[in-house]
Amino acid sequence: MSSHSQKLPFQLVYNREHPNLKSFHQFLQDYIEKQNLAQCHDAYSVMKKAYSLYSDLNASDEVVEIHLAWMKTQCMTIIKDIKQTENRKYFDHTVQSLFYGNNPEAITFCSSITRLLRQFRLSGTYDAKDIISEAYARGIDKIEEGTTIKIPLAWLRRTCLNVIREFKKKQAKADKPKLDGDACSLGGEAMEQLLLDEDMKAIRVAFERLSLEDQNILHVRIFQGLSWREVSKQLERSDTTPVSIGTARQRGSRALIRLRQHYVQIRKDIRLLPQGDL
Amino acid sequence: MFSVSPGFVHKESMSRERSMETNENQSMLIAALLATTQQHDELLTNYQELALSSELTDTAADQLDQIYEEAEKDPMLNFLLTEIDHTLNHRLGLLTDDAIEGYKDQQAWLRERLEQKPFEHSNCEEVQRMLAEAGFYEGPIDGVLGSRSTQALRQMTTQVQERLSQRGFYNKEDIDGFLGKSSHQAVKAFQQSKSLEDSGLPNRETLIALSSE
Repeated sequence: MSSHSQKLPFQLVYNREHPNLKSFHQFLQDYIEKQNLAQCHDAYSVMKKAYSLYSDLNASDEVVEIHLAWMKTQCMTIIKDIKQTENRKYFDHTVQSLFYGNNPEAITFCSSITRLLRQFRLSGTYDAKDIISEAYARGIDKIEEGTTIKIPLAWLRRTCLNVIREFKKKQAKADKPKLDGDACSLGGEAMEQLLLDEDMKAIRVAFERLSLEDQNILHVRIFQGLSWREVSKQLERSDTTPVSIGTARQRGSRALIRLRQHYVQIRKDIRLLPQGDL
Repeated sequence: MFSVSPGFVHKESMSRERSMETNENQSMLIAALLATTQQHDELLTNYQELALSSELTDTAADQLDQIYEEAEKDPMLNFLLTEIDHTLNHRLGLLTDDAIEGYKDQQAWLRERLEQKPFEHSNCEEVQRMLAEAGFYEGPIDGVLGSRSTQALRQMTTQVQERLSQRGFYNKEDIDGFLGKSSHQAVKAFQQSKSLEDSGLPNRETLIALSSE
């Protein structure tokens, strides 16, 4: 953070709109924080970038007069661009992490899309990968239009559902609508009404059994919805040693795998206990 | 449809403090989990029913869409849906070893097509040769960017990003092994500064220039 907080290469002067420089600086800083960009950017870095875009700049000029209004517009545009780039990067990283088998969320996601395909009787025509790649392409278009995608996987899941529904409609319009693939078939156990309550309890107990470190990483990742980059920064703060994005992601994956292991164990134990013991 | 989630209130105050107080996190996490479960009790039950239907009608699909929409706003709910999916899919036989192998094949397919986009239009054999020359790849030069090549590509990209950042062309915090748009531009800027062909791809000449000095 300190690398940004150097002196500006120019001097801002007093004007009516912003009675002092500090207020403009503070306004920008607040705005950056509001946009969740404060981890990597600050008012100085944005102002410097705006300054570098000033077209009437000559290397020999020692004093440059820049209107605050111009500065403000530029800064806003720059922040908007940064936001879009960050948004895209976050989306790319999250979606691309679905392409790796060692990511426990990825296998679940793939299996859920497969389930949907079966429920729409499309599993003989399409694979999860066809749906995911279509939804990913739509996400990239959306971001380029300027939409912010807050929770990429949640967005992707919903878009996958929409893609499947569209494909289904297309198929129904064709001359011979066909039913293909197996529908979802269930075991009797899955239908039990009380199951969900117990599942939810088990997830909670599983959380309590995790080490504090594991809880922490899941907390910042899921609860605060931070990207792996931000998670790695948080970890750095408590570890006081550098933590790479890859390491953060790996620790997060392991924590989730351990949570699920605890959870499976608890579900097994529940069956042995009389009702109401948890 | 729902009032402000208590989870969100916690989230806001948490991010303000930015604290890593472990005990605090622990109790908050459990509390938020409990709050989200209680608040969305009906929704979660409904979700389970929908997920377990053998086929989905239009009305059911609309309901599912609404639930997914809700999850786009609430990270905790999104997490719970994923975990419910995980357990249900187990019971539905969608997570057997065979099924998982199938997903892994699909992931490989997705990796080959959607990762490392800037290389999409370049010759795969050339990329492999470049990786081999740089000492990152020992596999066959067969024009197929499989997992070995992709892994080598990520290693090389990390090194290229590190060297670019040492020279001030790339933001140190963005080193991630992905050859995305920003790396592409950084490579291009570096190539221009050395009067090399500015393809934006770290070819042999670029790697040599990056390791000199």
